[in-house]
Amino acid sequence: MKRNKAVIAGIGQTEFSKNSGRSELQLSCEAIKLALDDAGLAPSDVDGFSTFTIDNNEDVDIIRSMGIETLRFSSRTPHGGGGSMATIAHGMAAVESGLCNTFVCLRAMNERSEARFGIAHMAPNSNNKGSGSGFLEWSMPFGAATPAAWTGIQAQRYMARYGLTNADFAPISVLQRKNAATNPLAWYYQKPITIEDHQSSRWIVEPVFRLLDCCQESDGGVALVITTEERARDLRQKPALIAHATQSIPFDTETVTNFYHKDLTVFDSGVQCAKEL
Amino acid sequence: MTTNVKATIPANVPATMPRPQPLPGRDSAFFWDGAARGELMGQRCAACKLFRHPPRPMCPNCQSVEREEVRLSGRGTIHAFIHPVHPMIPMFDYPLTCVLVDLEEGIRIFSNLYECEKEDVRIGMPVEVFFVPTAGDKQVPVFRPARDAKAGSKGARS
Ligand SMILES: [Zn+2]
Repeated sequence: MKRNKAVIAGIGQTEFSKNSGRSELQLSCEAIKLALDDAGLAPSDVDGFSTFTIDNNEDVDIIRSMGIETLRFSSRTPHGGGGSMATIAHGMAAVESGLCNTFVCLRAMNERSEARFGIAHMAPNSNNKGSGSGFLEWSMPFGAATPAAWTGIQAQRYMARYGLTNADFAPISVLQRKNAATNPLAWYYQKPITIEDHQSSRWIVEPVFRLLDCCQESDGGVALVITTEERARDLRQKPALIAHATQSIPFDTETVTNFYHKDLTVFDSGVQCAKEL
Repeated sequence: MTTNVKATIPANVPATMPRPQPLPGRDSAFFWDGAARGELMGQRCAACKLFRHPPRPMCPNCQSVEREEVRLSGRGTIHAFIHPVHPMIPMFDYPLTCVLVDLEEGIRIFSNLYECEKEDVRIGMPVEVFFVPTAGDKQVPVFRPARDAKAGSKGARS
């Protein structure tokens, strides 16, 4: 039986800014519209949808705003940004199984001007654990309230084991920002950083992360359109074939951290994904 | 502007608000109730005797829901540590040290380390539990260098 291969047929992104000046719902709709325009499809073609559990937009509001007729399948992947690739796995599964024809992967957020992760939010809601905040019960009362703190303690063990200092992380930030600086929609478009910039930026979490180890906090939205290879033949762009996609939620992991894994220097989610792919 | 950034970090910033109180769930209430009494509590499977943390209703080893709440020794060693610098949260004293502690019973817990200079914190350092107050008249377990293990630590706060 010929497998109906999934492809990425369109990409849409808004500008990335420190204050978008519009709602997260609007960013969602704009990103999806741009992705559909890129593919040569209409909102009425969309019948599948995935975003993250940590996303403030309701499926029903997006449908209502965009004129989507019906969703046959929608899903949410846990782990915030760490689960972003899993939305592609869900889209692949949906279109290859025949459940959906046109699947949208979305992420849109006013992460800088509204729901900023870099600010310490000190009121975890134990009744709201399905949104990925359950682990805060165990770190919040001890002053660890940002992704840099949660991931930093794991990285400290790694640094100690391999004899690394923060300077060893500098080339990673420099390379990532060199790549990002080629995107005209990026806040730091044409503004790469140097090793010296990295090393003179202030500490966020000693002895692990400086300011320039941390990702940009941005407002913005991105959407992908996933459909079948066959359907994409008639569309606007040359499609990108999805060779494979997967996700991993290993035993005893948490939304951001693996505090309770035997060996903190190994990232089990990454190991599992690598095995699968 | 980027020179001498270290000097812009104040050396000692005391808390101006009480530490946030824990918000227990139904499966974890025994742990925080224990802390409020000044006891470090752990959860152990009644069937296979495996300790687990954070608490959960079912044993991942044998799927039993029968469990025991056990008072732990409060002794362990540092598995990893950090000093969060920014943002400074008004409910905590800075400098602040966050630690993962491997407890004697074989479970790991996230907490703070006190009575130890920043420069003296080491992986593997033996520590012991004590308790500090939070908002709402609760307490949380924190750690200090084990009294019988190491000289050179000096009293900071308790
Ligand atoms: Zn058991």
